Amino acid sequence: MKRYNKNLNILKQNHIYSESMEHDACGVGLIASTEGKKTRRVVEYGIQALKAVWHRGAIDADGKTGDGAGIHIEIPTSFFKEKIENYGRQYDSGEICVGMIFLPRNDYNSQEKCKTLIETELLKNNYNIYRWRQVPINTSVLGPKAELTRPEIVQVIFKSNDKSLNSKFLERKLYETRRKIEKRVSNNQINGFYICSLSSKSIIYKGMFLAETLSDFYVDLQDERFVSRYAIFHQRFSTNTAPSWDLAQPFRAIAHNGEINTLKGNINWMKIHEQEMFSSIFEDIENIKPVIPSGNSDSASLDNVFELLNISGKSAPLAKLMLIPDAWSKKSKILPRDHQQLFNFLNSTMEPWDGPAAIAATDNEWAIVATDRNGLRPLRYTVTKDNLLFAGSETGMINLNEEKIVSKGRLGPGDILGVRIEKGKVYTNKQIKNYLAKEYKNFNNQIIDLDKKFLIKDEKNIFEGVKLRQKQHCFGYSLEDLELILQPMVEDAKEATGSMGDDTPLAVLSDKYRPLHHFFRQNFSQVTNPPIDSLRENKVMSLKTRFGNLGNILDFDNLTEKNIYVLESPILSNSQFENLLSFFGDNYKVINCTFTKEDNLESSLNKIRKEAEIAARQGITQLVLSDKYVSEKNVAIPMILCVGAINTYLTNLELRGYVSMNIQTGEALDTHSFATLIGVGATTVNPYLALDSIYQRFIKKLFGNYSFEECVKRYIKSVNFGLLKIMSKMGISVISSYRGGCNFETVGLSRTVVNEFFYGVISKISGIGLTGIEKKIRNIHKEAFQKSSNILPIGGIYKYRKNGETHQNEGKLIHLLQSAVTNNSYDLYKKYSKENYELPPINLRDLIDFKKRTPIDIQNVEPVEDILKRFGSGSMSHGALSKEAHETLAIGMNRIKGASCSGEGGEDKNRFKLMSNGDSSNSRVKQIASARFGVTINYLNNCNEIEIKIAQGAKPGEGGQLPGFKVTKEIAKLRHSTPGVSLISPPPHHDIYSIEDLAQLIYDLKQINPNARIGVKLVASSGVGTIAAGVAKAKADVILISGHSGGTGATPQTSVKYVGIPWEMGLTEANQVLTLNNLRHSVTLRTDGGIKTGRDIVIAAMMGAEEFGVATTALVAMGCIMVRQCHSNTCPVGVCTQDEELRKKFTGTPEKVVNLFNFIAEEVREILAKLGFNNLNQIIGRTDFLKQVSKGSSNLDDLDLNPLFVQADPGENKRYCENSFINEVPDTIDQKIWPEIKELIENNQEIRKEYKIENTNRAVGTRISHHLYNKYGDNHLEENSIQLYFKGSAGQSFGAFGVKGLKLNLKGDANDYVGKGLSGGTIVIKLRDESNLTSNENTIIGNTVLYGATSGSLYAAGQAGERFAVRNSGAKAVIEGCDSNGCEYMTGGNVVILGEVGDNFAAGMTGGMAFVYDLSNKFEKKVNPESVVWQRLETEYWKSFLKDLISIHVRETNSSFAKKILENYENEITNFFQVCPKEMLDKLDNPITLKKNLGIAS
Amino acid sequence: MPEKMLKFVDIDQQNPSKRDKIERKADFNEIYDEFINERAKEQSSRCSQCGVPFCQIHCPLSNNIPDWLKLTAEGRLQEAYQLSQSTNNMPEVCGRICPQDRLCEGNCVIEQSGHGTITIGSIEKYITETAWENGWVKPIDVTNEIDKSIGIIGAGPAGLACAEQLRKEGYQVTIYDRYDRSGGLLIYGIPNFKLEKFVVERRTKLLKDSGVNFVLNFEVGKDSTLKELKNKHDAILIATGVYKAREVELPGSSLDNIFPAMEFLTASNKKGLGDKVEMFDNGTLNSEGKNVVIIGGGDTAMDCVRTSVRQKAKSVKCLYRRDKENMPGSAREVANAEEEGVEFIWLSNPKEFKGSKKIESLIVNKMKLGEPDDSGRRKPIIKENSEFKIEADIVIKALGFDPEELPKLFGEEKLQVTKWGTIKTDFDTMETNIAGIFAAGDIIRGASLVVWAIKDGRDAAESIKKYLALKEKQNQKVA
Repeated sequence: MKRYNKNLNILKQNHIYSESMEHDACGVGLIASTEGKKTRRVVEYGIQALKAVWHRGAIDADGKTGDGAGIHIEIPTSFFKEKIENYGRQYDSGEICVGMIFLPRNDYNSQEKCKTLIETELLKNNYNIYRWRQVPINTSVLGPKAELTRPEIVQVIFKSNDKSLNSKFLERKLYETRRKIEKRVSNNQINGFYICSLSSKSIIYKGMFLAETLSDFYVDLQDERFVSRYAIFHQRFSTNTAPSWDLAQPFRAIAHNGEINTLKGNINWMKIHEQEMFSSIFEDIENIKPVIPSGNSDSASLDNVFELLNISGKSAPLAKLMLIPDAWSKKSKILPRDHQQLFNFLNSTMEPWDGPAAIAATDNEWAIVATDRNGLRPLRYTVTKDNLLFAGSETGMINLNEEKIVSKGRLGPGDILGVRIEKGKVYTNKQIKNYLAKEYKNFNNQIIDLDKKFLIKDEKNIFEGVKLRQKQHCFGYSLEDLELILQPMVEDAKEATGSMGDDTPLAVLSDKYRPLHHFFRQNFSQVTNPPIDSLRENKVMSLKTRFGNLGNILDFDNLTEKNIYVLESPILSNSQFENLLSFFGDNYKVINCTFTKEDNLESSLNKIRKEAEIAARQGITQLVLSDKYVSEKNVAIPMILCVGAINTYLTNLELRGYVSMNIQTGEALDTHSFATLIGVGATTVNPYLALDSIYQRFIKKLFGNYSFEECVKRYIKSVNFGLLKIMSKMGISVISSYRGGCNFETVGLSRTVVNEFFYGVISKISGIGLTGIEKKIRNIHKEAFQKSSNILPIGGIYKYRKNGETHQNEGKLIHLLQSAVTNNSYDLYKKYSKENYELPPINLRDLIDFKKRTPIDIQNVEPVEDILKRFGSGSMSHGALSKEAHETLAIGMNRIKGASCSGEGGEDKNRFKLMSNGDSSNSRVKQIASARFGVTINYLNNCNEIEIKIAQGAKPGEGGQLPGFKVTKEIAKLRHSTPGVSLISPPPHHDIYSIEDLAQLIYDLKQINPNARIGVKLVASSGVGTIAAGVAKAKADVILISGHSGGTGATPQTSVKYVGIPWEMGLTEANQVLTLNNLRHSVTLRTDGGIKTGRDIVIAAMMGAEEFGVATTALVAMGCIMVRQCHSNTCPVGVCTQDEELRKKFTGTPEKVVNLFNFIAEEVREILAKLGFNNLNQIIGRTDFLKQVSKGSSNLDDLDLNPLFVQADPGENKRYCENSFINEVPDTIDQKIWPEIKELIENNQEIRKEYKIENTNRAVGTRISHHLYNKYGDNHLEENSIQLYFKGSAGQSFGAFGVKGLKLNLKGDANDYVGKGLSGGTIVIKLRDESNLTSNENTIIGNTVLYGATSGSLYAAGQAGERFAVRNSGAKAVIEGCDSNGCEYMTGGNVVILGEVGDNFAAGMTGGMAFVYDLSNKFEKKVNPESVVWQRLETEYWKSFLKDLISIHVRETNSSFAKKILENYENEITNFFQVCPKEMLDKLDNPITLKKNLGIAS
Repeated sequence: MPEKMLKFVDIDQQNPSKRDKIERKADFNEIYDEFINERAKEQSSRCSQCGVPFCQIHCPLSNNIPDWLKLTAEGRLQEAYQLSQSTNNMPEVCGRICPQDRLCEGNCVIEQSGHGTITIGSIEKYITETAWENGWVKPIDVTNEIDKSIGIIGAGPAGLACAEQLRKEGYQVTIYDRYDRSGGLLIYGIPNFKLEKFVVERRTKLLKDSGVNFVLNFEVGKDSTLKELKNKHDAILIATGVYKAREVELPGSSLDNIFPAMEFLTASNKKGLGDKVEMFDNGTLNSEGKNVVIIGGGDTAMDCVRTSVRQKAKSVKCLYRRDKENMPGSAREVANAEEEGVEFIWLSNPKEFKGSKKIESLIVNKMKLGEPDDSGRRKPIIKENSEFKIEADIVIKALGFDPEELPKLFGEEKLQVTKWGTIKTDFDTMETNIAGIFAAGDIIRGASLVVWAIKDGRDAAESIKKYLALKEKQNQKVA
């Protein structure tokens, strides 16, 4: 522990680790009485439920320290009354107030000091203290880490002397008192102090124990007098590892399962709201500021705001709607009008705290559970006859008598379910929203939509000719920008696509002019929260931009009477911008964002800040920051700097809330430049120079027949799409929460600049400051206005140009390498390696060198063969690569016993067999990515490693699309789809929205293939260390950290450039944090992204990697010449194309691959010998052998690479993975069942045994499938030949990857991921015999069912949750209703839904067929028309097809509802819609219509 | 909208049509037709728009080839021209005479992967010719005259390129040349069928119209010393080229009718320009009806053989001591010559010239190739007892050129030269050992391509600008 703390401090001081990087996710729930009576049962069930979600938590390496668990219940009066009287004090019938307090344990002085401060504050505020109570605890259940960090846990029991205070006011006062105490303690610099709760109503017991030991630790809870009307419980799984008792949940208002993606923005905006906050209910509003104390976790911060809203009089449901609102702006079809108005109003008060969330909350009046706008966290509920409501992350957490159950349901996106505690009445989502709408919708009138006023019309350009060119030049535009970036944004109304990775220097290393936004890298989500699909799930996203807000969030009774203006998008055309200014009349102030050449940057920034301040103080509401005054005399200040400067300055002065910042800039051209401006605080952006550049092209007639207005519209449309995409990468759906959130990190910008202008942006290695920036802008300005040439610079950022930016893959080196591998010439390779090193600095490692040491004889260095085993060739799919290239690479890698990876595209099963010459083209590593293409049981069992691709270096946070023309017959077969039909890879894995979900997938994979290492591919970013720690805790065996420079087959150009950071930064951080947490030695660390030479490998090893991926260079060895047209299917050398003619041009051979890796390994040996080492293990993680060197220009000296060299002390452990075995996960009941049934199978006996199943039994059927596969192969068992029976609530992933021949029959219900990756098996889920439920009205299975299923069938008598049959590519299913995003991305199979579907049905569905029973005529409002058509069934073929499926359903599940449909089929058939993908219409064997002309609604 | 580029997958390579060999032999006009607009667009659209454009990498001028191909494919010829001329002072010349098969086209990715190169040279020529036709090529409109003058010795491609670059900035430029026309080798060295003379004269006129002074028939060393010239100007560029023909010292080499290539070509070109040339008019330098033997395998040799063909020689033979694969000249030119009926005698080297007064025949050794020498090419070795005889009325020596002795010629002994006689310059600044005197082109690098001369001229202009700016600064400090 001492070592731990020491390590932690080192990492913190070096900007590597901070608590703000931690993420968590959890199991959460609520149990409430529905009759308003306090009962013991509620508390007991709460404790019991926690025991049933242990698998959602994480356990430290010590086996006992949990990430935290706790319970929030009402104060048991009789219990505390006794404690008061026992103490000899008189209880006088008033409300008992209890404070549950953590004190610093080992510091008695501080303890006393804290107690004194509390007492002083209580007495000062007219309370009377009964006593202090030492809370009895049982420390034997704690793990060593938890025990070492355990606080002293005490209660202060007291009362208020003011009898006139009603309970609401008392709670308010207690809140203010608590905040005062917290402040005083913090002013006294005492650490380790925390108030869990201080209330007259409720109390919170929590800590760092395993969830199931809650009541063992807190023996109080075993006391029968602990009764309550509600219990909120929580179990945490954290990526972090610094155990901290106060971060355990529940908090005072909520228990939160999820992740807040917009946290930075929310915290920044909360500071701004504080400026306008006042309330008579507090003694002094300053006491409660800051609302969010610094260093809080995201959940804790949300709790702070939630609690404040409650305290200020907003009920829990209203607070929920303000903070975690529904998606509404694009759902006018399905949402009631008054709800929309309510949301519109609330949207003008607060920025959403956006991200996946399931919360349980209470304000002492209401107890609620609720979900986020996307429904990204599961919440299931059960109501019983004996007056209880159970709601939680899983169904089956508590064993209930089935007969007593009245209903079983789930919460859909944005839903709330609430109980009025007093009476116990349950309110549905609709009731709650109706009620609130009545109260608040009228405010809606004050919100004025400006879009109708400011149409894009009569557009005019501003500059032309030489003036235009000079401006373009001085804002850094190149011909490449105009041709490659701007043109498609208008022509195609979307961003340009590119391919391969970024091999240009980081902006800070470049000697060319790079605009300031090039220094910013976009944040993205991985593992701990999902990115969003901004195309297919567009409805949940919004760019709605508002000017100003409705003011004081604490007091809705006295809101501003001024109007609030909103726009649909923050991007304004020239005419819109003009109109906006004239609309605001005199109420705007233009700030000239240029400075004269004689002036300087720093003083000019000060000047514009002052100007902004004066304007704000004068009551001006609209600031206009403009750089259009740039001229020969006036130099433009980088606009992002101006925005950042004014935004932070006004925020600090508490003025920011009163003004909007409208930006008129020449700097904005590509989507990234807009995102950076808005991300650091801009309200609107008018890109006048980009628009002028469009005009310049428009008059050249480069946009076909579009009018200029249309061109402008198309451009703005593409920017809007781009913004949504950038936000969606980090899981943010609404721009108001993105704005000013500084959701970036910089590589190479000075920490001072970042702190001063971009608070919240991470800058780990510092870099150039204002002086450097000023030099750069002066240079480009001079160039722009002096140069006699009449042409813009050529560019060369995206594609190499001789006079443009440096690229690492330059012509000569490509040829050198190819000659080297072709002629097996190590000398040529060495020349290549040397010239590579002599390039101008491109990567951080180019500024790093080895410290000199005494060499040894190379004979004493481990042989090439040992080193080769550590190499991999990246993970490129067959589909991106041609068959020839993919197989050649695999054969080459197998020859050296290295790792080739299938990539995300399945693999031909013929490759699993050895070839006749002894070669093998079987990829040793099989990838499982978001689309699950070809992920069958066969695929998963023919590898010794499975790589879960969370993100990829070239485009983290994004999905992909394989256009139809690339889906050849061959590709379609591998991916289980139809030739010629496009395939979509979703941005997230739909079974990984948080860290505990990843743990679940790892668990599932370890069940289906117990012999494979499970790897997780992450992309380098700051914070990847804590994510890696979480992944290691989730029992992964390999963690791959990919650098930003990794390649891709196709992605928007700006994604390649501005997302992710170098692996040098990510790898070192991951290594450091894993070591800090005693996890490093149990997981293999691999890195890739632009690794080219032995030198790169040795540096990577010293930075902590033990395995290495070399992908692009391997392609070059096989003949790739960086044409960068992978996305066009025209690769002239046949590497990256599916065109048969072009594939013939492929010249790669396995020998070339082998030669390359031999060369690299040999070079590694040489370096090791030179440095005096015998093997790679000796240097892994030894950054002390590295040093920063000066290479080239002086601005590079500002870089501080020391954070990369920091080492955490591993103690006794090794600095590399010692495991020769695979990290184990707990058994499932399969391990018990298999021996039994194996015997029966062998004796040819029928299996007729029923097993009890609980929600903690996960992935049931999966290990059995593995065994069956081993025994019979994937396609030899007859269907349903092995039948297993279960009773109860199945845990997650029921029947995952189930093999053909296996049939699972479940009576009861099941959780999420039923039939994930189903591989031919059959799953039947029906109600228990004793159940009184009606199947079609209740929920029987959870979210994300049949995800990536390739074949098999599912019959479930009840409703499903979100994303039913997502990415199904072959399974059949019948269910009786589902929530939103059903059949999303489906590419095959048949789905029958005998009931209502949720919103956004069939989004991105490009294959398969769905049938929906639509009695209520809602279907057409809910279907996403983008890729499907729908109609009533027309042909006999399909009518009988449907009937057959329903008949099987009836037979299997006994559903009386389905039976009724069947009985009246001829009439009922007219209630069905048949849903068919547009692309499939001409490819069906049996057409859906006989009409020639498809006049179908779409 | 569909992708406009990357059409190499569907469209085959096509060059502008070459005139029929019979027809083209009959005159001295260029042998390639112009592209028509649609064809140029179509052929440009074959470009793969590579991430690493090897065409540009192997272009001495680093022309932004993929970019102007794209502009051409899109019909944006004026922009294509602007882009093309921004890196090249005479793209229409390069388009005609560059050995593209060894430079851009030879390294084209599409060519390398077996799809047939993009016809870059023809498109380059097309773009610029279109620009001339449409009047987009305009004299420099100097708005800020700078009171600094530069003297350039030599009106060849290096000198002209440098002059244009400097004039664009507003400098005063005077070009001196010892010939009566400007253009250097472009005018008198390269035959019409490769480069018609109006192309060169058009450029000269453009520069004149832009305010560049030409002083012709001016020989430094005779009409003025280098020092005197230096005193007249703020900086000097020496861009004289290399003119001293390499000799074959063999028995009989002093016989009549053995000419250096330049003498032969100049006579022919002057005739083409309508001049009176005595040596030609009296039949001495005219190959008509004669057996002509050309010695050498470079582009100059090709120019000579093809000129002879057009002068209606009885027979034209080319002797080269290595084989076809190892010859320095452009393969395309060899192919053209072969088509036109030239007989190549590979692996052959003259041993002796025979004749009484005039040359009558040559004794020739057969050669074989040994190990590669310093140049990387395989060294020719004499094959024992392989001699044979060739009849010849005229022998033209096209064995390359060496620099003249400039220090002596210019009356400036201080001017340093290398052991090969080229002028010694600073690698980065192109400045000679005498401050303010720069050198560019063949005179510093030995006989080379026009495109390299242009590149040198441009680089020299940059250096001269820097030099003058620095001097200005220093003067200001002193003042």
